[in-house]
Amino acid sequence: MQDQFKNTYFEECDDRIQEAEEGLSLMMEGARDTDTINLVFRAIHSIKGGAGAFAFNDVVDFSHEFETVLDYVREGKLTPDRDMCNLFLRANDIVAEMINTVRNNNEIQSNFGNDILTDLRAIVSSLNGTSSAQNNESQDSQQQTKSMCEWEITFAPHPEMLQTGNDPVYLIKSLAELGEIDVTSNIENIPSLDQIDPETCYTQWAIKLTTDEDESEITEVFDFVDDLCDLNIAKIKEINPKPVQAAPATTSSDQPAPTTSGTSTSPSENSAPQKTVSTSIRVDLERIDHLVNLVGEMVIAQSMLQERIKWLPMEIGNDIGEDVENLTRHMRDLQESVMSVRAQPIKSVFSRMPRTIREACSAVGKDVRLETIGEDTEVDKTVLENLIDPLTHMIRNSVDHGIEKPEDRIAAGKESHGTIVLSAKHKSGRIIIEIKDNGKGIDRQAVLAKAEKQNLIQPDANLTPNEIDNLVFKPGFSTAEALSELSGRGVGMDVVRRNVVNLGGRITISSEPGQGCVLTLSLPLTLAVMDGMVVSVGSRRFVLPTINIVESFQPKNQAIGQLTNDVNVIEARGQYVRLLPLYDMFQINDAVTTPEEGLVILLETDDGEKVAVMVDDVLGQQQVVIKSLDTNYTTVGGISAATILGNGEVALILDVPSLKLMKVNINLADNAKNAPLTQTNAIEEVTSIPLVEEKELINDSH
Amino acid sequence: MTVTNFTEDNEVGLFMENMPAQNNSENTASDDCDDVLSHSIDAQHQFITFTIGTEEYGTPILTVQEIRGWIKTTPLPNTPVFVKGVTNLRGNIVPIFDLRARFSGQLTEITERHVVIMVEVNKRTIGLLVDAISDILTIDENQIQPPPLDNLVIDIQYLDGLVATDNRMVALLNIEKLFDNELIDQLHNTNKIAS
Repeated sequence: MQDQFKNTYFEECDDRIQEAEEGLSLMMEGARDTDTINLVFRAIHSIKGGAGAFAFNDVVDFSHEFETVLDYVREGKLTPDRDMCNLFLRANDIVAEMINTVRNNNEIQSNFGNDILTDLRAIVSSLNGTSSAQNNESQDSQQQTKSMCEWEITFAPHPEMLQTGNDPVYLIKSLAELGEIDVTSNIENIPSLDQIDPETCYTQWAIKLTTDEDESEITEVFDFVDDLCDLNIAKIKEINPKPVQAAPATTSSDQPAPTTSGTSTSPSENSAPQKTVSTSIRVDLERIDHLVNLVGEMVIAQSMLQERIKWLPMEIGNDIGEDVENLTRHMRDLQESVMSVRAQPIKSVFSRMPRTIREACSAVGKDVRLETIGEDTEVDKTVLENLIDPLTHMIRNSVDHGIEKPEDRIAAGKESHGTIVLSAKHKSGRIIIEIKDNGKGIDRQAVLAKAEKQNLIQPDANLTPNEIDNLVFKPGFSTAEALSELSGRGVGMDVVRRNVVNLGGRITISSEPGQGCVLTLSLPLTLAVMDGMVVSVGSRRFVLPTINIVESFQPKNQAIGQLTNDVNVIEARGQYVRLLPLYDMFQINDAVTTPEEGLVILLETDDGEKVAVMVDDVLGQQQVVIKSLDTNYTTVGGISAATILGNGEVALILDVPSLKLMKVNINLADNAKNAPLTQTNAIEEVTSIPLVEEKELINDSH
Repeated sequence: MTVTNFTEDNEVGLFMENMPAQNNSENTASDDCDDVLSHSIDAQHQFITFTIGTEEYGTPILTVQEIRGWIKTTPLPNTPVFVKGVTNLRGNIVPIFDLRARFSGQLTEITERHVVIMVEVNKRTIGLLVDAISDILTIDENQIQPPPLDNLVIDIQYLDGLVATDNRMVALLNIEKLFDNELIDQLHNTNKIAS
């Protein structure tokens, strides 16, 4: 149970730290509005609160100092400049790091974050050296003047308190640290066992506390559950009062009042926005995936049903058919809604980039600002997660190689700081992400020289400027003359490209010398579903990714040729491309064997290479659910994944780049010459297979 | 949690459907099934047995997810003969292995009466094509004898031991070995060689 609360807390911390970082980044860019500052303050404040509940004392101590400084900012006593914002960001990192350490059940090193802590303290003392000194003094005097008092506390948690991760036991334990306590539980409200909701708190407590601390210390224990319980604290009597110091005691107890009121009002401020956002809930991703899978199953079951109905006699079939039509519509809605649950705004990825830029800038001494456009564009969570690495790498690259040093920029007549514009938008069922910088652009001479040196191109190759630009994606290519700390770790743009291609995406680069360059990524909205063309080869069905398809045509036998070593070629648009006979590669013996009787589909791989496949027929285009073969088997050459068709059968999704590598034993040109007339049987057989209905399926591959 | 329960129920249900009618231990079998649900500790000693030709083999009941009649598979390119291809098991793509071919290299001539046992091995679900299901046995560990050196269709490295029961002999399969990383690597490499 407690682990569960801790996990909830840690997850919340992630969000809070991110919120704080976003807020601080805004402040760095000059935002001074109370909303932003409050957001940061509240984030740190709630982290501190939770840490207190779980007795993560180092986190509490550090975040307390941090919070104090932020409080001054909030009150307007302190106006942070960029340096100070930087300090705050680093402080935020320390908090994040501490949370991570305790999450992994490790000990926080005692001096961890001390330098930042010192800086934070320095701000506090420089700001109001006198008043804080007074504070210290009064606290000192308070120490001497404390008197033992007996308090009676009634603590009645609201039923939902447990759901927020607050555990009453911890609260009572921290009370016990203040002095001697005597706790009586009121268990009247606990219902009979069959009615108990384990996440509801039914118990109330009456606590007698004997302590020398004052009331503010007691209320502080309950600071974070302020609005989650009914709390009544009453002083019953004072034990052995010290008459000599009584007078200073009253005055000094007034002294800390401003600070206590500061902290005690914050939970209520804190709770207000929390209540407004409680329209959303936190759901385990696994549960959503399960839901997505189930809907995928239903879609398939439903399409099977539809196929069966076709064979019913008209008078029965018509009625049922209408009902099934209805069902289909609802299924489609259901499927879309479920998929949208997995979709998240790309903001969660974009918001990591300011940090990347900051770190990159400080490493190479450049000044770069980031603008983001279209942060609310929604993408499937799996795609988002896989986007982080390539995007980070590209951004680093832009800072490292694209943007010039301030002095160079001024010399080139530009502003001293560079700008990177990161934008996202939906376009025809895909997401388009652009990274645009206003740096020096690609140095084509350098790229060409490098590519020749690395034997990536023929020395006499005549490349268009665009082709030269795209050379940076070639494996082994890296222009960084000296290995910088940032990029040039042997991981180049080819890795970025591979990552993007693995996501079913494409990447292109275009550059304007002196003006900067634009990297454009086009990605599917989800990894679960893919647009595919269903083709038949004999009685087998295959799926070709629509993104690879250029065109399909019925070739003339004369267009077929053969090179030495069993490579079949076909002339397409005046160009000879390799022709792959699928029936031979997959050993299908009921298929069409000459290209003239079947169809040829021209495909283009992601690196622009063209290849053609020979199939019997094209059955139609549809969205297919991608199911990995790795889950229960292993990778298979020529195949990227599998899918389930409307008839419940498994169809293989062809992987165009690895398809080229499969062995071919057939000479198609000979086949074409010797084609017997009886081969037409095969075609009839194919067309008698009921066509697959075009429908949208959901996918579940992760 | 609910998912596990569901499969358990389902398993038993499917199992009963697939029990050959001539099985004379039907009563004991259904009792055993009840036992699976009520005393899961006992389940650790229970084995589902099946036949390949004249020989009878057993696999721990807990590795079995469900039992199905033969279903059409989609063949995969460049795979060993014992890989019959993949099939759709409630939305999961599951490879089907011909156990006879796996051990003896001789292909099973598939009919509608053939049965596929879906087992979970090393976190993967695979289907084993066998001739028929025969029984559920509760076996005490001390009943298990070491396998003999020869005379079996199956290679002894895939056996955990032998059990003599009701005048017949059951060879207990080491299901983990059937589809271990070594084989996965091997399959992977066949692909590479072929490509």
